[in-house]
Formats: sequence, structure tokens, C-alpha cells
Amino acid sequence: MTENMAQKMLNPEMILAVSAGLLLLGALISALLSPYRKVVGWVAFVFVLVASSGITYAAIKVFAEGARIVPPIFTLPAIGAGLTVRIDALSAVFVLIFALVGICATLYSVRYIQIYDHEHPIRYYPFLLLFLASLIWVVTASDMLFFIVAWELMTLFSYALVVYEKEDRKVIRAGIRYFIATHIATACMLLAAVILYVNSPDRSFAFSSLRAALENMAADKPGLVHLVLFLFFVGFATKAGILPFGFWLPEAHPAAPSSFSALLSGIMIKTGVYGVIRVFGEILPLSHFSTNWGIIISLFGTISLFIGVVTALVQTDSKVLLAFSSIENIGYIFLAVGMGIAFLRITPAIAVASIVAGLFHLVNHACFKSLLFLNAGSVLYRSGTRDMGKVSGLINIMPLTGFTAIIGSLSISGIPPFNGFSSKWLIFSDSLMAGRAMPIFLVMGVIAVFVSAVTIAVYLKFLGTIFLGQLYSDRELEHKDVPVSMRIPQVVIALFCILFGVVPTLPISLLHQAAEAVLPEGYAPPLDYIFGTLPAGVTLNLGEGIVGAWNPLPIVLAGVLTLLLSYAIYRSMAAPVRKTSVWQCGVVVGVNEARFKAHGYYVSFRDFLAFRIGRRWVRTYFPSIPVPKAGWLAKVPVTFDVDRLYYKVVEVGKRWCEKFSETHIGVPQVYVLWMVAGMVLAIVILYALS
Amino acid sequence: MTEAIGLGVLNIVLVLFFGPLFEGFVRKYIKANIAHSRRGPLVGVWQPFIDLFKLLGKEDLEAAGGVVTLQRLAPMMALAAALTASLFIPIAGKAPFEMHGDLIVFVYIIGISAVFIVFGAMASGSPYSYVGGTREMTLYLIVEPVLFIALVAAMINAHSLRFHDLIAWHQTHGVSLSMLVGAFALLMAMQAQFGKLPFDIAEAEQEIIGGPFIEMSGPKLALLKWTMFSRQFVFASVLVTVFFPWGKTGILAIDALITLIKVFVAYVVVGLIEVLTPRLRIDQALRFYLAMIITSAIAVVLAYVSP
Repeated sequence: MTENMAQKMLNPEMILAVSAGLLLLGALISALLSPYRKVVGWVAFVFVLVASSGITYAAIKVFAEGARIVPPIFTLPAIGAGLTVRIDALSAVFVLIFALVGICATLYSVRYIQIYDHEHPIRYYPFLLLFLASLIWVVTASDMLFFIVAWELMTLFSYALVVYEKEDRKVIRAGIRYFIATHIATACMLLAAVILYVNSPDRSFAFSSLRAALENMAADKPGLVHLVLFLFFVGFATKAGILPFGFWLPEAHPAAPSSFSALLSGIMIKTGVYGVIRVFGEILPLSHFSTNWGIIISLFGTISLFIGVVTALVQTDSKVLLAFSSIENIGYIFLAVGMGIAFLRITPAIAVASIVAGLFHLVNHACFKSLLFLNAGSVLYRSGTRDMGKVSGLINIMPLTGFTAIIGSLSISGIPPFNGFSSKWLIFSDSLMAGRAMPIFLVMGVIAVFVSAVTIAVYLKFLGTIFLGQLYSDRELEHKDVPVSMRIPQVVIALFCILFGVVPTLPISLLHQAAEAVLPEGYAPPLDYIFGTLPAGVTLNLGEGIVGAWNPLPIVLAGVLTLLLSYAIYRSMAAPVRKTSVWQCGVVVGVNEARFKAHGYYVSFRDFLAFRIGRRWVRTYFPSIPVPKAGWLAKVPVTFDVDRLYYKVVEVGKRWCEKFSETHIGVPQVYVLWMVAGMVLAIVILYALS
Repeated sequence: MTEAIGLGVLNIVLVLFFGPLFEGFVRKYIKANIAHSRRGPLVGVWQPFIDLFKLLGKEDLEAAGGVVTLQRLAPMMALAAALTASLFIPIAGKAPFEMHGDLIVFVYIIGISAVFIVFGAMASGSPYSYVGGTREMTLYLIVEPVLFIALVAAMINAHSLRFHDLIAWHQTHGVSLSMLVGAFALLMAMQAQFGKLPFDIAEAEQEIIGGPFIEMSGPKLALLKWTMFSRQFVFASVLVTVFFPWGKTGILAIDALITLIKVFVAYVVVGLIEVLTPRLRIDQALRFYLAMIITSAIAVVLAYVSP
């Protein structure tokens, strides 16, 4: 009996539930311990570490043994919803990245949050742990109503953390934008879920019932199917940051504390991709809807790709640059996932390869984007500024942070042999080969390659302004690197970046299982067929024989040998080495007087992209409506200016709430009066009803 | 396995030797004799080797306030990347790494050398090298799509991304309009990839005192020069092996010789264009290469429409 119970205790779902419970308990204990600023961070980290180990173990068991479905813990039969939990390979992938980034970001926050001495940790650690717990629920719910509940909880807790610096007007503004945008998205999702619920044969919110609902509706109500898919797409695209729905992202991600920005960009926006794969891959039956909506998803991905990177190129605030770069990378992921969904009915090999490519880029982006946000946070920690024009040469005082920043930047730019290149190679190969069947994907693939080159330029700007060059800061700097507890997470993630790049078969085998889990039984071609049998490399076979190859290990070996050859040439004549100062044409100039500042980078390319409509110049592609100077025409954009609409709504709401609060003015007699009046009203109503 | 190692060593030796040699030929006979009507270097085509030899022994100056480790590493990594990229090109008939990478891998590995040149530029902290570095990156991000799209045109024709499939298709199929248009666009792109007038904007001596190379001296400058020579050879060999692959015999020495002759012709064409044009500004270069991207795109459309 006890052996059986012990066996049950080690089930993945039990471990997952215990880990989530540990996170909830940790939130409570952090809230209680929050007055002790130096201790609360470590306590929270211990809880996150244990919980993440648990969920990692659960995920590995799921990969080894297959999906786990837990019968409903409780049901609400009146509305046909039940708290079911299902952990399949796709959930396991997300759970793994939650664990990795969660541990690293929490360890980083321990010392990082201490720079916010005006803010209380009680608004950080409890919400952080609750956020991680709600994330786990989002990817394991298999009932749409509870999925939306978990989604909403995740949004609320992340909002609380985005507005952590509540004294700053810009932060509050960013938080309100995020809040309203994401709630409109949730409303869309809820509406879509209700439409499917009404049409489902057994009136339930479970994913299988929603699938049956779509099957029924596909024949006679195609318009309604399109509406439902559109609403789901808007909901997930808003969370993921796809333009034009994701306009909140470039303000919200920089506004949050850097450790939480890492979580936002690293894992929260990925839940949008999770939703898209679940809805369009699993709930939507294979039909022409898949093809059409796949193309639409990829189109929006490509638009975000282009606009994101072009706007990132001209930024001078490091975290805003990283936020726009997140938009770009989500564009890559949507491009790949959309292509996979579009090809579900056409070529299974391309579909599975594309979905795996999208998931691979998702995992990689979680790694390197969180690393880059932690680096930006380290710069902020030491120098007190996010402005790239105000510091330079910081790698001289923070060598390890700078080194991990170089690794993160090379990874995100797609430089071999790091992980960004492995996933980008797969996306490019798939879209180029898919382009033979549908030329639109070839166009998207070529745009993606161009954008990748621009990304290299963006990150050379990021590194060149902050880390490289001569040391300069416009304020006092301690000449030390960040504390060890902030350096360790950066190094750990950098190691994963290198690992996934040099051994891409490791993540690809797990992601192939995830794709198999979503698609129908037996649909996906086996791993060996699509991705080849090399021990650490990938040869791509999309149904017509091997068309591409990427085998990192021999190439890295050749690179090392040629590097040794270059070193041998370099030292062949033992030239004497001498240190000297930088050449300034014979005069002695201070570092700040002859420094190439961030706003001067790529000016020619920026002007190259500007174009003219009539007499108006369009210089930036990021949606923002310019207000013309005079006349009635000036009033029109103002009406459509979403910002002013939001703030109008907020002000009106505030005024009404204030008016309403005048009824309770602090005099106890008035309160008693209200209570008596309420009692009388209740008695009257009950009397009238009986 | 040993065949691959032998071919690899052969590729690297050919790149390291014939890169400077062809450059020396262009420098003496085309630039000096034909264009400037002067005698040119006394040692003739061997001048680049003499320059490299001299530089390797000169004093190695390092910018003290900058990132010294990166200043040392960057030229070595750039040369290593250029040589690794050459392993994917079948200069001697068969590429040693043909099973390990395809055209996307090649384009990115040769991109590593450009990235590390810019790293080296930014590591020293000289504002001139920053200007040169940003110009180099701007030129890179507009020229790389031309190379990539031209190779995509070949890919559409050959139904595969791997170099030996592209070459095999082109050899059996003969001349085709899409590949000719792609070759033209790629030839124009080579001007910037070689770093030659009218597109030597990144290294503009009269404007920014050498750009990325200003703080590099002695052995570092020798490595960077050799990187430039190697990159030139690799880009030229991509053009001639993929877009003009005819004349394969199967015998290693003769194939290598034929490829070298074709690469030599490419160098002569680039050299002639170099001496006949002035330097362009970066915005003019951006507009020119946009036109070349459109030309490459036309090659892709032609590849779809007619094989």
C-alpha cells in the first residue's frame, strides 16, 4: 500500500501539483518575510529552485513516458467546465523553459531588487512566485474556461510586477496600456470560447469538445469559424506582442524591473505561441482553415519581424532596443508556426519541421533574450542608466557580464555555432523549401534573412555602445562587476546558448515529440526521417531527399584548428607588443569628446528607409499616428488616438469612483445610516419577491 | 575522412596563397600598369606577400584603454572564419565539408568574419574605427541579401540547399537565364564584398583613416589584410563554382587549375571596375544595392517561371 502510494507520489502530475503548491506557499512566506529585505529574496529563490527542480523532473518523465492526463479535480457541470490537467510533450517543453528562466531570474533578483530602495519587496516576490505558478497552470490546463482563468491570473500578476516602480508616471502609463490591451484580448478569447461552447455537441469547455464544435461548424457556418479563429488569434497575438496588437510591449518590458523583463520577454510572451499551437494545431481540425490561417499567422509574423528590427535599429535606450528585438523574434516564431500550420494538409514533413523550428526558436529566444535583459539590468545596476549614449566600455569593469552579453548578442544575431543560428537555419531552410509549393513563404523567408542581417547590426550597436570601447560613464562608477549571485544566472544561460547551438539534436528530439503530441496520432513523420541520423548535427529531409545540412561539431573543430593556424601566423615572428593610446590625429582628447554615441549609428540606413507620401515623411514604421497642425482634420486622429481614449476612460472611471466614494466620508454615523438603509431595501425587495 | 582532411588543407592553402597572389596581379598589372601608367611594385605580383611578411614582424601596438583581449582575438577569428567558410566551396572539384553545411551555413560563416572585423574595430575605442565599423555593417546588411537571393535562385532551380546539388544541377542543365541574371547581381555584389572601389566605403582612407583598421598594426594588420584577401578569394570562388561550373574533369589538379583560372578572371573584372570608378557615399551604395536586390529577385522569379 505504501509502495503504491510512493509510486503515485512520484507521478509527474503529483510532482507538478506539489511544485505549484510550493510556489503558492513560497508566495505566502515571502509576503510574511518581506520586511527583512536581505532574507526574503533568498527564501523566494529556494522555493523557486525546489519547485523548478520538481517541474523539470516531471517534464523529463513526460518526455520519457508520454502524456499524463489527470481526471477533473473538480467540475462545474452547470457550465460544462472541469479543472482537468494534461501534461503532454508540448506543455513539458514550456515547463522546462519556465524552470530555467525562472530559477535564473529569481536568483538574479535577489541582489537586483535591492537597488529599488523606495519600493517594498512585498510587491515583488509574492507576485513573482504566483506568476510562475499561474504560468504552469496555463500550459497544463486542457479545459478552455480554466485556461482563460489561468491566463487572466498570469496577466494580473505580471501587471502587478510591471508597475513595480509605481512612482514613475511612465511606468504606470505602460502598465495601464498593457492592462487594457491584454484584457481586450482576453475578452476576445472568452467570446470565442463561448461561441464554441454553444456549438459543441456535449456543451463543455474541454479542448476535445471545442474541436468537435469546430468540426460541426466547419460545414455550415464557415464565417463563424473564421470569426472564432480571428478572436483567438487576436487574443494570443496581443499577448505575444505581434504587431499591430502588441503595441504595449515596447513600453511595458522596459518599465518592469530587469529581472522581471527577462521573465516577460523570455517566457510570458511565449504563452501566446503556446495558445496559437494549441488552438490552430490541436483544436482546429485539419481543413482549409488551417492553410488560410497559417498564411495569415505567418504574414503577421513577417510584419512584426520587419517593423520590430527596423525600429530596434534606431533606439538609444537599451531595454527598449531589447523589447523591439523581442517583437522581431516573436515574428520569427509566428512565421515558422504559421508555416507549419499552413502546410498541415499539404506536406507533413514541412509542417512538422516548421513547427519544430518555431518551438526551437522559442526555446532559444527564452534563453538569449532573458540573458540580454539580465545584462541590461547589470548595466543599470552598476551605472544607473539605461541610455546607451551615456556609458561606454563597461566590459573593462564587468568582464564576465560583458562576455555573456557578447555570447547573447551573437546568439540572437544568428551567428554559428550558437543556438540562434540553429533555429534560424531551420526556419530559413523550411521557408525556402516551402517556397517552392507556396511562393509567399519564399518571400517571407528572404525577408527573414534580411532581417537577420539587420539584427547583427542592432546587436553590434548594443555591444559597441555599452560594453566595447574605452571606459566612460557620465556618473560615478564602482569598478567592480555585479555581485556573484547576479553573474551566475548569466553564465548558466550563456552555457545553454552554447549547448543548444553546438548540439542541436538534443532540443530538436524533444521538440519533435512536442509537435507529435499536438498533431493527430501517426501524422508526424519520425525524427530520423526529417532530421537525419547524425549524432549532433541535422540533415533536413522534407519529403524529397536530403536538402540541407548543419553539422556543428566538424565545423567548430575546423574553426578551432584555423584559429590555431591564425594564432601561429600572428606570433610567427614574435613581434614586440606595446600599449599606446588611441590615435586622435596628434592631439590629446578626452574619452567623452571623441566618442561615437548611440544616436549616430546607422543614420544612413535610417534615412534610406524613410519614404514620402505626398508631403509627409514616414520615418518610423512603428504604429504611431502623427497629429496634423490645424483645422478640423487635426481633430480626426485625436479621436482615434488610442492613448487619449484610454486615459479618457480611466479619468471618467476615476471621477465616478471618487463621486461614489463620497458616500463614505469617515463619520461612523453615516456608515450606520447606510447599513440601515441597505437593510430596509433588502427587506423590501425580499418582501416584494415572496 | 582523410580525403576530407586533405581537401580541407588544400582549400586553405589555395585560399591563403592565391588570395594575395591574385591581388598582387591586379595591383601591378591592372592598377599600376594599365590605369596609372606607372611601373608598379618592383617585385611585381609578390608585393602583397612582402607586405604581409613585413607587417608580421613590426611592432604590435594595442589601444590601452580599449578591450585588449578582443583586439587580439578579433583578427584571428576573422581569418579563421574566412578559412572555415572556404571549406564549403569545391575549389578543387569537391568540397571537404559538403555534407556538413549548406548555403545558409556558408553565408553565415563568412558573415562571422565581417562581424569580427567590426568587433575588432569597436574593441579599440577609436571613433574613426566606430564610424568605419558602422559603415561596414550597413554595407554588409545590404549586400548579404544580394548574395543570398542569388543563391536562392539557384536553390529554386536545383530543389536543394546544398552546394553540390546546386552545382550538379547547373552542370547538367547548361546555361539558364535566371542563373545569368543571378550571376550578374552577384558580380556587382562582389565589388563591396571585396572592399574595392566604388564600395570601399568602410575602409575609406581619405575620410576615416582606414576605418576598422586604424588601431590595428603589425601582426594584427597582417592578419586583417590576409582576411580581406581570403574573403575576396572565397566570394569569387562561390561565384565561379556555382554560377559558372562547367569544365569539370574529375581530376583534382585540373579541376583546381580551372577554378583558379575562373577566379582569376573574376579578379580581373573586379579590378577593372575598381580602377574605372570613384568612391561612392554610403547612401548611394544603399540605393545601388537595393537595385541589385531587385535584380536578384528577378533571377528568383525567372527561376520559378522557367528552369
